[in-house]
Amino acid sequence: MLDWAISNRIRAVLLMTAGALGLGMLVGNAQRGPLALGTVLEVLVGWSFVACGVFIWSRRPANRLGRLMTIVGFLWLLGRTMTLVPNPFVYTAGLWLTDLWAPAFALFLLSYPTGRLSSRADLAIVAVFLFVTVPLEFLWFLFLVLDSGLNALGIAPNESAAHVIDTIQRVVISIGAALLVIALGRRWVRSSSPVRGRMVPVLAGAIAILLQSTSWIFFSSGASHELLDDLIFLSQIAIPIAVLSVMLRSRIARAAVADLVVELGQTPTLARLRDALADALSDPSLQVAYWAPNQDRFVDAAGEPVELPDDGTGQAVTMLERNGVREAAIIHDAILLEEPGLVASVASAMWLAVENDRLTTEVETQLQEVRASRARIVEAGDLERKRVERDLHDGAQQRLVSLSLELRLARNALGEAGDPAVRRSLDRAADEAMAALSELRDLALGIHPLILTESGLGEAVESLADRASVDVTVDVGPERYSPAVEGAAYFVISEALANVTKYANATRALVRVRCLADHMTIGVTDDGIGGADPRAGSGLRGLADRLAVLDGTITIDSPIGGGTTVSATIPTLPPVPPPVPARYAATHLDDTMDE
Amino acid sequence: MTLRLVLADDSILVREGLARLLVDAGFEVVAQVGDADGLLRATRDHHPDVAIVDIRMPPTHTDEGLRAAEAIRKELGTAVGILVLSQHVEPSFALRLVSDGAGGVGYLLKDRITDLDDFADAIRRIAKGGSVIDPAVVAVLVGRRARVPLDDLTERERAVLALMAEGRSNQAIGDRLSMARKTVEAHIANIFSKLELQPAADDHRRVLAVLAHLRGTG
Repeated sequence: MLDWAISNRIRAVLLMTAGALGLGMLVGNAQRGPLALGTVLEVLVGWSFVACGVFIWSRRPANRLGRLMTIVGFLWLLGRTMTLVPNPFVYTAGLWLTDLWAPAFALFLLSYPTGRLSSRADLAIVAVFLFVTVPLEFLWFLFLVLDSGLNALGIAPNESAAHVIDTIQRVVISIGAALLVIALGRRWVRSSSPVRGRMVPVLAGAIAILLQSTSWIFFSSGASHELLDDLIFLSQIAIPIAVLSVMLRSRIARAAVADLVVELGQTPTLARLRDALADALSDPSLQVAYWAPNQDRFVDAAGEPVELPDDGTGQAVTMLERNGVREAAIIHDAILLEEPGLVASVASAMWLAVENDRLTTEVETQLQEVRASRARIVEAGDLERKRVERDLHDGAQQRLVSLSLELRLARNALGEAGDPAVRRSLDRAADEAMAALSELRDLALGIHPLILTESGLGEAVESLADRASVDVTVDVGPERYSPAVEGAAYFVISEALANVTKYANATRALVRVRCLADHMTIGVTDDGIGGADPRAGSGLRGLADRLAVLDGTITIDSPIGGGTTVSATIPTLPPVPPPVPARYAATHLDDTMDE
Repeated sequence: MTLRLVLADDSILVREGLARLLVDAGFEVVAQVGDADGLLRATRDHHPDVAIVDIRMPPTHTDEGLRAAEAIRKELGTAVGILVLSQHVEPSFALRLVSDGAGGVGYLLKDRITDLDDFADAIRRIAKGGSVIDPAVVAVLVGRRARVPLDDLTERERAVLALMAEGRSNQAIGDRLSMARKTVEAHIANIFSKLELQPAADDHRRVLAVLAHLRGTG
């Protein structure tokens, strides 16, 4: 791609050349008589185009419009200045260049604001102007008779032929100008109101060229229409300045994009995204469409399908892609394409916001899923523990009890009469069954302590303390909590006490549970050697995971030689007071008595 | 006189086996039931000497036995002795049972039913208004290195304390530890003085006092 950046030197040369040409025109005209207002205005038209064109060119090198305006200005100045030179070649070339200004001007108007023609119709209009000013102009020159004899191409002087061609030229160019006005008028009608404002200069330009090219119809040949010319010149001076001001406004829009990124960074909801973009780009008609791969089409924030606009509707689409995969499209006024940099900025802001939003949502969703699944796992684990304990109790333990009973009955039946070896065997079998029962009991207690569900945390911790190898002081109230909270608290205390027994080399421990308004605090302190490493062993990690399900936390403070304190916090609903034990049974009894 | 029993256990195997064993041992089993409702009805109908109750029964399989025991106590007073059988070595369950009544209760592990002599003895003690606490439960309490200063007690005194907690009479303690009744009484006096306990009026109150003391709740 060509780099159209303009250096300071070239800019200076261009501006000085335009200045010199303009001055030359003024001087040349001044030598021929008093300087007309129209001449001064003509010079100013050229200067206005060159100056504004060069300015836009330097600020927006990628936009052809600046270059196009510069060319329009130079054609204007150069042609007019050259016609002042009494040399047939220079004069003829000057005259031709002056007329070649028209297709360049039409191209400028039609390609505004992007510097590119957007449709074949536009191209056709430019072609009409070129047809008039190149082949027809050439024919005209062939027949043109000039009193000054300065026509270098006049090889077949024929005044009437020249007049016919000139008339054809006037008619055709009038048609071209009319088409130009129609094309720009249609565009204006289809645009949204802020865009219409920006289109005023080119529409004015089109009307000016229409008036200029059709003035021969209203005024008889040779009649003075200086006033109209002056007005047209004035409007042509204003056009480049108006275009420049539009361009400067889009610089402001570019600054707004920076705000946009910041704003969207906070809470990028889809509705805010659209509003912020529409605001930053001054395009209330702006729409954001999201690509729905499963539906293979674009949808809006509400999921409704969105049709992308066709060319020539005044709207354009900027696609947002990520890693080559389309993600979204901004449907906006075509005029915003006037500066590709602007769209790129918006696109990146949009991309950031969309991406950020997508990632945030994705992470949030994943987090929710992980939380939910972790809670389900813990819950399922607790249920499973209860089930296993119950199965052990109702199954293996009961069967061992009845096995022991059978052995005892068999032993009784045998009496003292039977084989002593068989008697011993039966006794040993009964002892084995006893031992198995005892082991199963410990196992079941470890899997799920019935006392926790039955009597609550306080009694369950007492039970743990009963079995601890160190002197455990229990400071736990009789309040009941949800099974999940009680389970988590119990396992924290159980694990902490197990660690006291195993590692702490302690003689005493204190278990304290406090229920506050919305959370429970657990503290297990011992007077052991300290130096416990929370990272070592899976027990404490497992507890942290278990607590995290309830949004609880666990910390371990274990200075070497200073004992160990395990502290945990679990958010809770307000605890319920302990139930009155006999209540259920009493009601039960009454029911039975009523029968 | 033959003691009349009601058995409540949701396991038919255990219930039937236990019934046969108890009949062999000379008890009369007047009713067998599988849940707490049945137990209450059978107790009301038959006025047994002792109801032997599994702690876990339908519907929730948690502590129906204890609740039923409490209900029976409320309705029939101490006329019906209650022996709760459990798979759980939980002092708090045992305490809940004894602290509620005026004796005639017991908390034993289910395993004990196979040691028929001891088990039959326990039933008879309960029928007479005594209290029976499983040795394993007592062992947990006595073995706990807790707030209770048992360090002052001698080995012998601790053995006496455990048997007291199990609900044994002085005579039984003497038999167990092969010591004269006088010696047992002297030990008990020492224990009560060292633990700063008030001498109890009967065996049941003694069990209650000792258990509560060991648990730190008395």
